[in-house]
Amino acid sequence: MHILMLLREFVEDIKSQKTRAFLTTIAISWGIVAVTLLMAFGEGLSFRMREGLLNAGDRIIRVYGGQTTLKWEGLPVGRRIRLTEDDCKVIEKNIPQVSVAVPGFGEWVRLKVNGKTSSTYLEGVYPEFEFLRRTFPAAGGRFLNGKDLRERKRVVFLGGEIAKELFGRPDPIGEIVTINGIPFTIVGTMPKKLQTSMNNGPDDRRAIIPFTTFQSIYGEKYLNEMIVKPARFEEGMYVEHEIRRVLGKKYQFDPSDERAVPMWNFIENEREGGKIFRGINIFLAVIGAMTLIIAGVGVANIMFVVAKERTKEIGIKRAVGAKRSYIIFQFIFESLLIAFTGGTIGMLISMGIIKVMWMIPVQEGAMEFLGRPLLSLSVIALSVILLTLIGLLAGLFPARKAASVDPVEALRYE
Amino acid sequence: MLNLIDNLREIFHYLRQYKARTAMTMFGIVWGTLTVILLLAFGVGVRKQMSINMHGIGEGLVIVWPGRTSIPFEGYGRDRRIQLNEDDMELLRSEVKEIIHISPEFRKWGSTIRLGDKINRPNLSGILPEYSEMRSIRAEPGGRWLNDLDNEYKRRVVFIGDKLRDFLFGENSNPVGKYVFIDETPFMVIGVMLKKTQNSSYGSRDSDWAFIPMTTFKALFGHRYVSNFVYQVSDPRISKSVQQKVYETLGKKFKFDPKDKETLGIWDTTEFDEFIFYFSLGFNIFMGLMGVITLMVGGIGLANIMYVVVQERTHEIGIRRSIGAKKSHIMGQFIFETFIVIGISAFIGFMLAIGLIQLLTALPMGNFKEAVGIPVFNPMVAIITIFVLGAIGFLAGYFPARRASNLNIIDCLRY
Repeated sequence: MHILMLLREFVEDIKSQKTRAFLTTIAISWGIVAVTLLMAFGEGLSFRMREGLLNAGDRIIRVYGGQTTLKWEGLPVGRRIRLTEDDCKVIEKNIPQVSVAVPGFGEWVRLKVNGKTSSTYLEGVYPEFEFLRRTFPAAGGRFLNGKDLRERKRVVFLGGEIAKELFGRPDPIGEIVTINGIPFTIVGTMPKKLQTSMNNGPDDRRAIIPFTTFQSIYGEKYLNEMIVKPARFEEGMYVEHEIRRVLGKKYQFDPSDERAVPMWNFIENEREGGKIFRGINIFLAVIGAMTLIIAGVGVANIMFVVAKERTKEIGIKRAVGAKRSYIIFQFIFESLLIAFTGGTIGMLISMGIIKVMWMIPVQEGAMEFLGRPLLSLSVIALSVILLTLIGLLAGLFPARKAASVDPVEALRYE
Repeated sequence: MLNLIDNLREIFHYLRQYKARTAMTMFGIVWGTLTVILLLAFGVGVRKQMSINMHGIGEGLVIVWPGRTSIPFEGYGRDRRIQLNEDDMELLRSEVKEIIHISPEFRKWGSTIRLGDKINRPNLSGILPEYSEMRSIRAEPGGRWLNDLDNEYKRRVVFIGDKLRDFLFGENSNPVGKYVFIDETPFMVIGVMLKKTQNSSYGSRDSDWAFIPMTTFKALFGHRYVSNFVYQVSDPRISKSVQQKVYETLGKKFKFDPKDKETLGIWDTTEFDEFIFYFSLGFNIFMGLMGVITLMVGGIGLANIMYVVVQERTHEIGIRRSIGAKKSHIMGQFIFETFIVIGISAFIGFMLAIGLIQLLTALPMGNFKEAVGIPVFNPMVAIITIFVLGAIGFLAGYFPARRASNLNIIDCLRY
């Protein structure tokens, strides 16, 4: 009953002050557009960056052979440390926090098909590679499996880009390609993926064969790298130290000698990157929130004007028995209503803009990161909370002023 | 003139009368100005930092590795190896005018650099003096980069990266003039690389690298062919066409098809420049738009209040008009008032922004700064902000002023 009456009064008020109501609402809408777009943009950017990193290595540590730079137990510096397949087993056995440790070979090779040649980086890996490096196959193909490894099969998994370059289509499953003159059957290809961190070119241009096949063709003993995945990513740093300790014991080097076995810790990279993007997101959110606050101040400003204009009306209301709380409630109700009307409009505009941006097709390059804002639930929740807060505050202060007026004075007011 | 002062006095009188209202309105503009400047400056800073990080490896740099042919050409089969020596670099230098610097790079793996019992196997390159120009390599004070005489006389001198120095001689020591052994040959250290930010590389980071003159390298190790070569183009935008000329020039000499990309593996770092350009352009446009929106919100608040002011002063307007003030007078008065409010607020906003940027510059936030840089306040940022302020001020003043000037005199007086 009360609410309906208040609503009617509000509508009457708006009708008599159309420009004012329009401008106040629009200010709130703009504020919400700014807040949501800024945050959605920041979130989209950091999501893409993180995705790009995870696509290069899904919370793994890549371990390489190096050389000692610290003396240890009477041994000189400058000794070469080279990793073998056995080291992976040693690591898996001695560090319980490690879930997988797999070896990998690498070599630059030339792929040939019907007179077309392309140079690329060839890796010899275990099947676990698929999950560690996110080389998931496109439909119709598969990644290397345990049987390929056991039987030293001559099968190859290709990056989508190089497959397209050689065959003119991205899915040449079952076709034969020669790698340095030896024929291999293609069992799968990888669809295009976003990758921001790489060595020896992106995975889109990789050729991947079973570890055992690589070993028997090239007769390699020493690994190019070892990929270690901790069971829990929080233990990344600990696992890194443990690897140095375990290998240090085996090869006799100082466990604090970082160059003896250099590591590329994707978990740390992700954490570092995450920190930076959290910083950017907070910056953007603060700017957005301040925009909304400006709009809120605008609302408060207008509510003060309203309070003054209605002094006489308030006086009458109070004289016929309306309590202070009723007057305060009316003002807060009005400013909340303005805030939510404007907020809803703003939110719809933002959603529309984001939807349109997603519809624009993006090629590789800058727009891949900038053109994909994400309107997450937390962004929406934060905007609604801010909006409520601003609506309340923008109503409260003018309301208090209005309610504190002496009814007798108010009635006399011209 | 008198009119103007009169006007000003009136405005300030009025502003003082409504302190809370004025403060709140101005707050919107002040904060809006601050936001525009901060967002734009932040965008400029990000761009600058990205560029610094990328150009650690070199600016406008292209790296080329000789490969094998993959297309039969003029009666030759495929799979021929293309092997280049330093004369081919000179050929490119004279044939392709857009190349401003070029240097062959002879490299060797597994060579040791030793001082006492400290041994390391760094990247070792034999290059020409102009190499440093392309690769943004500067010497620490007290040392120098390789020069033409070193090259001419096959001097046994070496320039080392800062990390390599830290390992061999201890951190921040000055090893210039001291000797190290490269394999079994003594070399004099003539310079240490000034530490730089670098986020891409071939081989290893420059901090772990050792450079010696090309002629010394060839005499010592007997290499005939380059491992790779690097060149710099005068303008990154023409890099693609220069690449084509490189293929054509060498294709003519070595008889391979200029369309055969396998003959030369090329890493064009200017492609990243393009990425940076578009990324920062998009980023800056977005940031600018958001800033403008914020300022607009402030502007809307101002316009709203101006409408209230017009309403409150209706009676006054009526009197002024009836004693001879023209429509344009009334209009001018309101627009003038709007601009005064905006001018004062904008000034405060500018001061706050400059102060805040200086504060950010002074704060130590190593990691963060290395990734996103620090906001940069430049004339461009100021001009854009002032332009936007002007436009918004005009809009916020014009419409209320128009309403005020179009009011009917009789109605006004009766109000």
